[in-house]
Amino acid sequence: MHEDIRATAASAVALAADHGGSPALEVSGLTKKFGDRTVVDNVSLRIPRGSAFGYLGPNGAGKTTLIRMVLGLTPATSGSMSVLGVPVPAQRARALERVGAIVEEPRFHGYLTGRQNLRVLAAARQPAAERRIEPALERVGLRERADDRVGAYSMGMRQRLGVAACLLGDPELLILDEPMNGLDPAGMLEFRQLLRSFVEEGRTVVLSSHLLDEVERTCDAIAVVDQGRIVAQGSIDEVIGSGGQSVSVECDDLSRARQLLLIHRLATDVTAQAGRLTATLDPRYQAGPRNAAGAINRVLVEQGITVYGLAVDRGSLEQRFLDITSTLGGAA
Amino acid sequence: MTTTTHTLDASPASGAGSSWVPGGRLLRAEFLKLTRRRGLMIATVTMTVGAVIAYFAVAAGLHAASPGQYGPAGGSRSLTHIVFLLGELGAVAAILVGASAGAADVTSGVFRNLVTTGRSRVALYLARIPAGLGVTAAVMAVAYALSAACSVLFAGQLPAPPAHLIIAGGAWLLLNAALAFLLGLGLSALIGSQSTTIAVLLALTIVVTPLVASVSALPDIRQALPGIALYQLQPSALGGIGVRGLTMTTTAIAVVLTAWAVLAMSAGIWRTVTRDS
Repeated sequence: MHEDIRATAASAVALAADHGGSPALEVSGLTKKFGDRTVVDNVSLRIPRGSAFGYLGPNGAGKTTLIRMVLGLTPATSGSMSVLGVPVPAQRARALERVGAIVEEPRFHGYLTGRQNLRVLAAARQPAAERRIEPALERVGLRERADDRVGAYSMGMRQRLGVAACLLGDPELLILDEPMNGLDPAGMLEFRQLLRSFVEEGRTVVLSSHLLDEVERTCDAIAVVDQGRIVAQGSIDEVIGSGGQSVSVECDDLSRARQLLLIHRLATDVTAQAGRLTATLDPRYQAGPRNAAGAINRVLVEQGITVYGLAVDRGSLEQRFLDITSTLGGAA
Repeated sequence: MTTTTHTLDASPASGAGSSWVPGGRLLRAEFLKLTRRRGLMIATVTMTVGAVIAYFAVAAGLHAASPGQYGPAGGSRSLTHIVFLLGELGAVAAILVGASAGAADVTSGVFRNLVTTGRSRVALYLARIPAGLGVTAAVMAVAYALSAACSVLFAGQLPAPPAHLIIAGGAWLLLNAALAFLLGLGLSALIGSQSTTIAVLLALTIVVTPLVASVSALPDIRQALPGIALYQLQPSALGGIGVRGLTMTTTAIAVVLTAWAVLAMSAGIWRTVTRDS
C-alpha cells in the first residue's frame, strides 16, 4: 500500500501550481563560488507550493550549498532567491519564520534532553513555537524519550528530533537535507509517510537526497544537479522518460523482428540478448510507450511473427540519474 | 511516528525575528544551555565556591591545631587572600563560561539550526551576554558572600573586615570576572573554539599580564592590558598595590576596560553575523 505513495499525476509540478500564489521556493541565476571553484552554477528553480520536491545529485554536486544559501547560512555570489514569496536575504527573518530545515544532519546539544533542545530552538522562534513542542514530539514518536539526553539518541532518533524541530515553526516549507540517513527500512517507511502527510496538509517538502529510491517513492517532482548545474527537472515520469524508454520483445524470429522494428522506425536501436529483443523507442513514442508496444505487436504479427511477450521498460530514476551524471562526469 | 493530519496555520509571517533584541525566552534558553553543562558548572563552582571552602577549611584547621602558630581563619587578612584567590580563579571560571557560551553552538552544530529559524544573529549573540554574566555573577556572588561571612565569623581577636571593604572587594571581583567573561565570549565566538580561547586567555591572565606588569621599562604599553588596568583598580586595603612605576587615572582605567569589553563584543558579533554555518 505504501509502495506507491508518489502521486501518479502526469505532472505534479503542474498540479501543485494550482495552489496558486507565489512558489514555495524560487531561485534564479544562483551562483556560489569558493575562490575560483564554482560550486553552484547559475541555478534556477521554481518549486510550487504543496508538493514534495526532490533535489538530487551526487556527492559534491552543490545540493547542500544551494540549501545553505537559501537559508542564509552562507551568502550567494550572485543571483536572486525568494522563499514563500519573500526575498532573501533582504527579508530573511520574515522568509524563514515559516520554514523548517535540516541541513546535512540534525545537530543538537548532546548534554541536553530532546525536550530541552527543542526549548532552545523554540526560543529563537515566535512564542507559539513553545506550545508546539509536545505535539511535535508526539508526531515524530519521541515523546517517551524526550527527557533522555540527546547524546544517547540513535541517528534515527536524532533525525526524528530534527523533524520535530522543523515543526516548531508550523512550517509552510520544509527543507530536509538527507533526512533518511541512518534510518532502518521501517523507519524509512514511517518517514516517507510522515513527509507525505506534510504535503497533504498543504506544506511543501524539499528533499535533498542521494537515496534515489526514496525520492522516487516520496516526491512529485525532482531536479537533478551535477557539478553545480541543474541537468534535469520536472515530474519524475518526465525526467525518467527523457532518457529514452524501451520495449522488450519475445518472439519466434528475433532477426526478422529486429529488422522490422528498424525499418518501420519504431525503434532507434534494437539489441538481442537472452532470447529477447530490447528496442529503444523512437522519440515519437517516448511519451506513450504503451502505444509503441501496440504498434510493435501489430507489425510483427502482420509479418507472421509469433509474439510471446511484450513489456514496456519504464526505466528507473536510478538509471536515468546515473546516465545524466555519468555523462557529465565523462565530459568533464 | 504518527501521520495524523494537522492543519497548517495560514497566518502570514511577521518578521519579528529580525529584531536584534534577544528577549526573555532567548535569554532563558542560553541560561539553560550553560547551567545544564555539568562539567562547566562543576569546574566553575569548584574554582570559586570550592576554593573558598578549601581555604577556610585549611585555615580553620591549622588555627585549631596550633593556635599559637596560626592565627584565626578570618579577618581582613584572610579577605585579602581570598580576593587574590578569587581574582585569579574567578577570572578563569569566567573565561570558561564565556568560552562555552561563545563557541558551544558553533562546535555542536546547533548554531546552524538557530540561524535557520530566521532569528537575528546579533540577537543570538547578545542573548549570551546577560545569561553568561548571570551565571558568572551568581557563582562569584555565592563564593564571595561565603568568603565575607567566614572572614567576619572566623575573625577571632583579629579585626573583622569593614563593610565598605567587603563591598569594594566584591565589586572589584565582579568587574574582574565580568571582563574575563566578555573576553572569553568574544574570542570564542571569533575563533569558534573553546579550548583555544581558554588557552589564549589563561596565558594572557596568568603569564603575560604578570610578566608585563613587572617590566617597568614599558609603562605606556602596559596600560593597554586589561589585567594591568584591573590591578590599578584593586582596593589597596585588599592587596591592591598597583603596578610598579605605573600610575593610571580612573578615566584611563575606565577607557582601557571599556575598550577591551567593546572590542571583544564587537569581534564576537562581527564573526557571528558573518560566519558561514
